[in-house]
Amino acid sequence: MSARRTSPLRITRRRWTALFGIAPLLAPFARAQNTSTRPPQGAPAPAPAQSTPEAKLQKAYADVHDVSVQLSQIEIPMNIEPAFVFKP
Amino acid sequence: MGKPNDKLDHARVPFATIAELNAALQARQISSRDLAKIFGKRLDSLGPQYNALALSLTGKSHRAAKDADDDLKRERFRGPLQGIPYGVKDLFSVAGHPTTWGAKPYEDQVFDYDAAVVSRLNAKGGVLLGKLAMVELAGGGGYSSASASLHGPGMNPWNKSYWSGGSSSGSAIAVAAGLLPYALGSETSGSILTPACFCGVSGLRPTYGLVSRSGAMALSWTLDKVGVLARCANDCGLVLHEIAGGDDNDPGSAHKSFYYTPDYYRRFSDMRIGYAEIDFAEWPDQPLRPAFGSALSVVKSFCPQMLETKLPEVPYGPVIGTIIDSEAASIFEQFIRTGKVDQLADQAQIDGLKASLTYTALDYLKAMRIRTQILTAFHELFAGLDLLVAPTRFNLPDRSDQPFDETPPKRPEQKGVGAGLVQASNLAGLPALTVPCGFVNGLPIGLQIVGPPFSENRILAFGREFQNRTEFHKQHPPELSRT
Repeated sequence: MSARRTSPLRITRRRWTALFGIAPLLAPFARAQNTSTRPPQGAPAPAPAQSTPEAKLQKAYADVHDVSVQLSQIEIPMNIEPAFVFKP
Repeated sequence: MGKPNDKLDHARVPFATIAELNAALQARQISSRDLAKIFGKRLDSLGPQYNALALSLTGKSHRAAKDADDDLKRERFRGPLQGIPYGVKDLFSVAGHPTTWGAKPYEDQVFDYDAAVVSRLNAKGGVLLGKLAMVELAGGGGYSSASASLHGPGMNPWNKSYWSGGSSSGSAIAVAAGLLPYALGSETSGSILTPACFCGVSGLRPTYGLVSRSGAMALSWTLDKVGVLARCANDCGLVLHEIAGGDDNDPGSAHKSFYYTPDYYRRFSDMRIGYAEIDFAEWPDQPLRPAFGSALSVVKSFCPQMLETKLPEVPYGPVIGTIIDSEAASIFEQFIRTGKVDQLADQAQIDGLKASLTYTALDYLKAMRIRTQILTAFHELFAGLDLLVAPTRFNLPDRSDQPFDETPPKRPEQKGVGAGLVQASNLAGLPALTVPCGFVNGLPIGLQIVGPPFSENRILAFGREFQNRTEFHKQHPPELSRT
């Protein structure tokens, strides 16, 4: 636990952006989240599409592809290594 | 908390806390065999009615209960769990008994060893009464309805028409329905917090690596955690004290111990609590907002340093989804490729697991590198805060007999702390506690408390104080209280 008296108000969007390396990093996040998870306020909910089992499977593959594309748009500094825990 | 002088009425046993049961055992007001009989009868009769029971071990519990009684008689005290019944999610192995992982293809699977946590609890005099139902393969691949389980949809003890939450569904049901005093569960991304919240019990997800996963099904090596569902925060602490600790058989072990000392934690007036008003006022579904507002008022009454904050906007869902799916695809590769996956109950889960084979190394590495940045961000955040609080879920559970409603709910554009907190805190390996904080339409809602790594005593002290000031954790499903 930290006992430092640091104001959390300094954790601003700019601060987060700095923590995350470079400004463009967050842009794809925000775009993706704003467009993919919810309709505009007040818009009617989309009717669920009737689909065959094969179509549902293809949708699952497409979802993975979409995530892959989304991740590929994110630039990360070279010195950021994967969050593995290596032990001797 | 029970005191030795408080006589425990046998009618109150099903909903007594561990501390009360321990006091009654030590005072010889009741025996471990009595407890095994009372809870065993409820587990065997009511468990199947709620699809909570995977395997009854009540017939095998007599010896353990007798040993506990003998030890207590000789004043060989082994700790607060001695002689007290418990259950485990059916992804923990128990030697010689089926461990189904909640999935039809594994219904005959038997291991010849106990999971590390089962061994630890048994060594402390715990009395294992049963293995508890769960979502198949802990939900790996993603599932579309409560029926995604070998044992049927987990039914909410407060209203059987609604889902219990998952994947530790049977563990939450058993505690909420008074079938067991506590149960073990596991969480990769929400599998303890969600069912604990929906069923109105306290659920503790410890820091990654604090509790051994040896002998438990793996879904995601870098995300799986073992935790506790119990009647109150204090009981969660008592159980964690016994199950935490290093284990060379778990490559993810942090090799740290945990000593439950909530009474010696610092004053709440000195704690800086991060939260967002919008999480309580606008993000929850409309009917939940007044109850969450009241819960926030309780928090403010003992935590004067409430500081508005927010999480960084990161696509936690895709990041954690990529990591879980990639690791699960590796773990279950042969299961998927040989077609056994088609025997699962949930078609969306079958499709999801098949599709998970198509993630690339690049996807996984990218997600794990973003995870590094999330870890850094949380480290910075907790430099200025002691805890984060937010609603555990913004909604009530879906119905148990229908596919999940996947209509995107209307939520504010602006985010606070709660949106994505379950995924974010799992990615960062942080401990979290959920406690009941109200009721809406007869169903419980929960408040989650998240802290930095290995701050379990801090979040448990907070949970205890919240429960000292509220009565939600003392309420029980009326029908089950009379049974």
